[in-house]
Parts: sequence; C-alpha cells; structure tokens
Amino acid sequence: MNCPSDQLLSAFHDGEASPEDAASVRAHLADCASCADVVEAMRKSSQLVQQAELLPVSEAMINRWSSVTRAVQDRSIRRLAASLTGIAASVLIAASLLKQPSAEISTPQLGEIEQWAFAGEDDSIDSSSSHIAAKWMAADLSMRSSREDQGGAQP
Amino acid sequence: MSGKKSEGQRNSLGKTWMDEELSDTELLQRLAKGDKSAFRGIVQLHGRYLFTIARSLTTSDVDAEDVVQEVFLALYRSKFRGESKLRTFLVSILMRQAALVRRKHKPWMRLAGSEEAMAEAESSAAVRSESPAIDAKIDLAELLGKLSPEHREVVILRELEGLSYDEIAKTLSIAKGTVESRLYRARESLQQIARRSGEQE
Repeated sequence: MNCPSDQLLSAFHDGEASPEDAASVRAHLADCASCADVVEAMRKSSQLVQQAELLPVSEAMINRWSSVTRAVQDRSIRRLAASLTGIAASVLIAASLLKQPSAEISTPQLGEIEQWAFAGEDDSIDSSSSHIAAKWMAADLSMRSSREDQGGAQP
Repeated sequence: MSGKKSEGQRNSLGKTWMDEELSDTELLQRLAKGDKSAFRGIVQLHGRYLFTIARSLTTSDVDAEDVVQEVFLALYRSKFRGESKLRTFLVSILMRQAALVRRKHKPWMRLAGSEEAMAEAESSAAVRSESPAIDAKIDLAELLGKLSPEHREVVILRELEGLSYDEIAKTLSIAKGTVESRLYRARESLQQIARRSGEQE
C-alpha cells in the first residue's frame, strides 16, 4: 500500500476505517515512519483536547443554575412583559395596582404555566395563552407583595 | 481541580466514567420522582464542563452562564430519562442553542472565531491561569474557541463525548463522510494551535 491519505489515517485513529482498510493501514504503519508520525500526532491532539483544563465555576453559579423553577417563572415574566396586549395587559396592571389577592384572579395549574412557557420558545404567543400567562403573572405579583408585607423570603 | 483525563480513565472531577454514569442514573431517577435536590446534583456534576464548552462559543463569562442556564432549563422541561448519556444530551442541546444564536444574532453577537473574540479569549485566559504549572496546561475553552464552529462540534462529540462517526452524523444531521473529513481538518487545526502556543512559551 502506498501511503494512505491523512484523512484515512484520521479515521483509522478513531477506529472508523473499514476492516480491510484498517488491516492495510496497520501493515503499512509497521514499515512507514512518516505515517506512524502522522498517527502519533493525531493521538497527541486527541490527548490535548481530553486533558485540557476546564474553567472554574463558583458556588454562586451552581446556585443560579440550580434554581430552575425560579428561572422558569422569571423568564416567563420577561417574555410576557414583551408581548402583553389588550385585556391581558389591563388584568396585569389592575392586579399590580391593587397589590392584593383578588377573588377573580386564580392561579393557573402548573401544566398551563409550562405549556405557555414552552410555547413561548418560538416567540409566538397567541391570545389564549397570553390570557393564562396574565392570570399567572397577576397571581404571582399579588403573592409576592403579600410575602414582602410579611417579610417572608422568596422561594 | 485539574481537568486531566488520561485515556478516558478519570474525568475532570476525578471520577471514572463508570462513577459518572451511576451518578447520572441515580440522579435522573430521583429527579423523575420529583426530588429537586437531584437537579442540583446534576448541575454540580456537569456545570463546569458545560460552562467551559459554552465559554468557547461565546465571548463573555456572563453569556456563557446564560447559555448553560438555557441548557439546564431545557433538561428540566424535557422528559429525558437516561436513554443516552446525560452529558452528551446536555452538550448537544448546548451546541444546538449556540447554532441558533449564531444564526439569529450574527451581526450583533461576537462569537468565538472572530479576530477580536480570539484575542479577548486569549487575554482573559492568560489572566485566569495566574499560577504557572510546570507543564502549562492549555485551557479547553481557549483551545476550542480557536476552532471554527463546524470543527468545534465534531471535536467535542468525538474527543470529549466519545461518539462514533454514525452517532455524530445523526446528532449534527450531516453525512458520515462529512464527519470524517471535518475531524481530519479539525485535527490539523488543533496541531497548528498546539504548535503556535508552544512557540509562545
């Protein structure tokens, strides 16, 4: 076999050459120092990547990444704030002005929140889900303000 | 904590692959039962690695942190139950999101690969590695950051996640032959990068 292409040697290094090719390459490497060097260089670049240092992360970062339920709510608030229209907006404004739990505003079920948050991925929020989100956000605002009054900590 | 991994025996947190897989399985089972502390366990196990990869795809620690948050959120919302290796699942989400960001924000967000981004990554890496080791280890974020996005993806999936060419092809929706040629060219780049950083010392 003449020297195989470097690309084949790369596949061979990954164990992805066909059985016939692999056998030919193995036989060739026994006699060809130059190709053996190429394979060795590839082994070294694999090692370089696998042994490279990871970046440090702080406990604060771990805390932030772990506080996922909070993050879902916060992102939902931000996305909602960007897209509120009409009735949803007035429900929200009314709730924030009143700052107290209202009998008419009920907290939607968890499934609704998730459904809305997930639907928000492609930035298209239809009016029905906007209504659900408004209910939730209004309820959340009233819960937050009553918690603040009691001096309680955020979950 | 060293990022040393010799022949895949011990990973960046000093655990063997077997340890990590058992931890993943246990954590996912607990998470499925509604144990929220299991989620923190997953974050602790994989956060550092994901942050490093994310940092190679962005130009600031803050952006990298946000990307990682997105990945963990996606896990939280997903129904993943350990059908494949958890970390591979997470890093695949990461790369997909980075690709989306690249397409959406191209004019505004400087991503690794541009001249300024590379210079910034190099200077911040220099600041980070203040204690000179005897054999100065290269930063993974810095190393990956110097590759093109296509090369970076195949290097991550092959060298760090140990996927086969078929699996990489499926993950990235590209032909197997493309995987093979990209990996080969990525290795050429890596060797150039290694030579250059060796010359700078």
